Amino acid sequence: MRFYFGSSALLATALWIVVASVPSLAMDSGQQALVIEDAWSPQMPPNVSMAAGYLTVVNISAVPVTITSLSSPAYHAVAIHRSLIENGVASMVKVKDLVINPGQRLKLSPGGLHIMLMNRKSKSASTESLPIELKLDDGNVIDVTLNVIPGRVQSPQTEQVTDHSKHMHHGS
Amino acid sequence: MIRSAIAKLQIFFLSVAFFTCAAAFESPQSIDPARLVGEFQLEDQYGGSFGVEQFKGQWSMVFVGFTSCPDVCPVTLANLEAVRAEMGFRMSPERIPNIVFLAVDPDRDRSVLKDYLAYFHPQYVGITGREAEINKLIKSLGEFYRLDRKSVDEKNYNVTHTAIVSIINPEAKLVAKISPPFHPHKTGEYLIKLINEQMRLIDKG
Ligand SMILES: [Cu+2]
Repeated sequence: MRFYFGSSALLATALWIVVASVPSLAMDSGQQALVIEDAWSPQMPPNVSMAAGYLTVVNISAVPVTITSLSSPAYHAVAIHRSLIENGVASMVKVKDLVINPGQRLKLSPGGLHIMLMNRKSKSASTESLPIELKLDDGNVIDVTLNVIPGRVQSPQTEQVTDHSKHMHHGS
Repeated sequence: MIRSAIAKLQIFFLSVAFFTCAAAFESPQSIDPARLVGEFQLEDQYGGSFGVEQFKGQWSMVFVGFTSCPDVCPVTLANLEAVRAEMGFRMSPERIPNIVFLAVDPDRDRSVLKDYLAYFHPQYVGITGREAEINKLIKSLGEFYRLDRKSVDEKNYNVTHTAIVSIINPEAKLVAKISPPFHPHKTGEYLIKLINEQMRLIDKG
């Protein structure tokens, strides 16, 4: 963890997407507490007004950080959801406050924790990128761009079979 | 008084249903004796009528879902596709079950079902229709769903539904239930065995 502090610049170059910070409320060192990687959204059919977003969030600060709300200029409502399958029944529950502990790397992926984008504002969906905003309990706001990925969602089961380096237990 | 008694009864039946589901969860269950699917009248994504007759002549896997489900439904469809791919290596194509997506949220599903399936899995059949007809099929399969909708104006409601998939044979009989996670190899193995056994029985008459 301490290692990450000292080498944040190095770490940042290795990350897919680096996050913008709000200067006036930034931490002492000008360091953003959360780093967002691999932010994407599976492309939905044109007239479906709901979409899901996924990303990995890493807390590189020494204190817990909570994502308290989300928004997007493209959707009327955005929230973090968790898909659950309990006793053979599938449901989604809203996660009001998502806490990311110091050093934690939390992966949102299909079939579990996801960003739920509800009720699209425009007639057509963007085929390239989707902007969202994450509001944090420390007052910071993070702008994230979800890359829209065309093609069907891959089966996590197949991924598990073909890629043994990946573990599916994150966020459960 | 009567209303509360009915509510209690409903809760009782629900808990029985949940208990049964819990017992079946994760391991496939054969339905023995196989149960003929009851009458219902829905429409497929192209507007063609779809009733119990349409189950005849091929194997089907019926999955309950809704199109405003961007997270878990695409994952389940992808998992089921992986099961079919696994079966494809070891079984003749005409015995591999078709996927039938039973969309239980007609207010939102009707207008988008065709595009939704064309987008993800063009070869799948999607069916929906009037609530009463959906409920007939749901009941006949022993499944469950609920629209978590507070008013008719609400647009962002969720749908709670069974994640269990019904296996229907070419005589329109419910023969088994499979549960998530749909591991391609294990589920494929189970279905190949089940289907080959059943076909032997059907061929004997
Ligand atoms: Cu959701």
